[in-house]
Amino acid sequence: MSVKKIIPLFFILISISYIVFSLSIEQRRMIGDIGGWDPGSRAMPLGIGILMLLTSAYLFFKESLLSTSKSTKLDKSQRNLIIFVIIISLIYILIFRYIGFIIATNIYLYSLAFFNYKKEIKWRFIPDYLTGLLSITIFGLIIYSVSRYTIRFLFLMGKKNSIEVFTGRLLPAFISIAIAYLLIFLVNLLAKKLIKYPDRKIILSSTIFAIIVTQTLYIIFKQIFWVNLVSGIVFW
Amino acid sequence: MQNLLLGFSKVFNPVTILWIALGEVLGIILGALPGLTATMGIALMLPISFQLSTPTGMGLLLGVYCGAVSGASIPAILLGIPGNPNAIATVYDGHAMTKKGLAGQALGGAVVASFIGGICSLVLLMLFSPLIARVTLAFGPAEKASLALLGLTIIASVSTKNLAKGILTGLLGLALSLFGTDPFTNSLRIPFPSLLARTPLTSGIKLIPALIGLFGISQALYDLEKIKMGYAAPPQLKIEKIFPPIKKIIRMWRIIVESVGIGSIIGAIPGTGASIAVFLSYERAKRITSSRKSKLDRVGTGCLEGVIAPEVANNSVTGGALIPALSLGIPGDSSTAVLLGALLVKGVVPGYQLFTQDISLVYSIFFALFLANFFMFSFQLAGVRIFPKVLNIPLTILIPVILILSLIGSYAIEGQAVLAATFDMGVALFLGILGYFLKKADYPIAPIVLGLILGGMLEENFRRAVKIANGNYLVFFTKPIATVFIVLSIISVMVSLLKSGKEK
Repeated sequence: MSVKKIIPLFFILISISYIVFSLSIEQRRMIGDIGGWDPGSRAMPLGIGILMLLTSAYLFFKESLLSTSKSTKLDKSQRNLIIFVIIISLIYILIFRYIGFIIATNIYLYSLAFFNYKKEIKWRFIPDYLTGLLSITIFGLIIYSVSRYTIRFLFLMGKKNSIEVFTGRLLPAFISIAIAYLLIFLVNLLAKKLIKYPDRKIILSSTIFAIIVTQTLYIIFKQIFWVNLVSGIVFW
Repeated sequence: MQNLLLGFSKVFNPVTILWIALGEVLGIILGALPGLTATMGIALMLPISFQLSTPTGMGLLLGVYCGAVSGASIPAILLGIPGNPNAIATVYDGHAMTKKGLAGQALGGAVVASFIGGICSLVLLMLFSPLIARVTLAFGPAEKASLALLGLTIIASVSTKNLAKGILTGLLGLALSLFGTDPFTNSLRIPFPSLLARTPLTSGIKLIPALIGLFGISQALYDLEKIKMGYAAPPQLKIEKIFPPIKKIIRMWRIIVESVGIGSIIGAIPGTGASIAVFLSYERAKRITSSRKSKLDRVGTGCLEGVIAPEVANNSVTGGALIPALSLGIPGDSSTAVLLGALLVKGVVPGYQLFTQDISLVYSIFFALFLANFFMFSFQLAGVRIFPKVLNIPLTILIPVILILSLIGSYAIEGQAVLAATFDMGVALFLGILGYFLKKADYPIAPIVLGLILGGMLEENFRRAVKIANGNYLVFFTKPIATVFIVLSIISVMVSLLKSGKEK
């Protein structure tokens, strides 16, 4: 069944669920409505649910029974890649709180980049993928630690010697990201000379990409905007 | 005068100028990448704008908006592929000029045209938005509810060829907006309340994660389908003589004036968007240049006139679309819907109150839009040889960047409350997946956004109006303004039905 035919069916199910949900809402009227003229908290959801059901039923009838148009089908590798991205994004959200931003994001980005470079999902890629997974976890943690200790060092130095710019947000962020980029650049340079096989080069490119993006996001959101990016198992 | 100076100082300070410039560069890059829309760019920058002051944040978003609209002309001219729907009509003459070896003049002409369009529409925005906002003084609950209905029906009827699909996605947006708590009684309105009462769902579906999911994640999934093909490599061209001859531009005054008018008016009509404006202005330019008296090259033959018309029009849409957004709270297109969302999240309520109580903020938005247009002009002209190189960025790394920016961006909104922030990531992913499948089945996304924005306004004012009228549901037909809005809603639906009937 094509997406065009599934969507109205999906909407019918959503509409029925929404109507059931609307009926379960406690019917309360606004304070001071002595005459009972407020349509109440149930009215709008119920009305929308009914309209949604009618429209989706009409579309289901039109798309399933009357329409002859066929939607273009994706090839197997494209479909598998999309399913993979959806699953890995879901896993990322689920494990984010527990293993922390640094490890989860590095792994997530590495996985996306690795399979995007390969352009398909195949079992034979797994050994290479796992090798990269190990390297991204270790290398990612090293870069994070260097970055974190740079900021901490600058902060302590700034406090001790009353250098305000070092206790602020921006300069330590720039210095730490510059050091991180320099380290990544050097490792990339060295690894490129050592690695000869094209398959391994994909691992390297994906790893470097994931670490650069993760570290940049970390500095922007955590250091500059003070967003609470969970540490998870990375306790230091 | 004091408010004007205050608005000026809110924008013309190093921090805001820097953010607008950054937004501009990002916008041009996003616009230049085929398939990535201005709306997606603004949605991805929402979490960052949220961390900044309102004028600075709006400046950043306006920078992205102007940059993306204008940057879309780069692949349209060089590759014959529009960066986004704003540049659909630029392809015809722009790419033909590239084939003639006039790529530099086409790119330069597009930049000049974008600047003219942007500045003229800004002037119109400054003139008309306060006037329209004043009209809202006469609006009571019945008028506000029918205005929300009008916004929804127009966007549902214009955003797709199939009216039912537009209505259905609009209803979905409304349905999602009602989750959380009742606005009057504060009683819970979530499924399985005994189970989910302590979850972040009690605060409802937040606008920003929804916008990021619908425009960012869905686009990334959609682009995954193209990963095997990638973008076509930009041709190795010598880009010379960038600045178009001023005399020629002056001779095109009629095309420019008409394109500004078309762009601004179309932009101000909710749901219409730039793609309609660019085609209309292109057709008008064709007609103007077909006469020998005009002394202009004929549009369609690969000439500057065919680039100027659509590029003036699509940038005029930017200011035009902001007119109803700032004055009525009804966005002109999906990009302004996201801009409006950014304002609402900051607690800024559009309408007359904004123009009287926070006029310095309105001025700062005008100044920011001016600066965004100025940066667009300078950066695009200075980087006319550099920006085409953006087309070398592979989708392989672009897609993961969009996905992670979407997820972490959604998280950052509730950055201190980890559970709520993680929930927001889930909302963004769910709506992103839904948006992807809806796009594949030709369902429009914009009505969902409008439903989410207008849902609260519609419900609150509908209930208030009925209550004030002692339970009379026909109250909407007893007020002249409300009746006009309802009649206009019916007309928009009828026109859409007639149009689809004719096409069959």
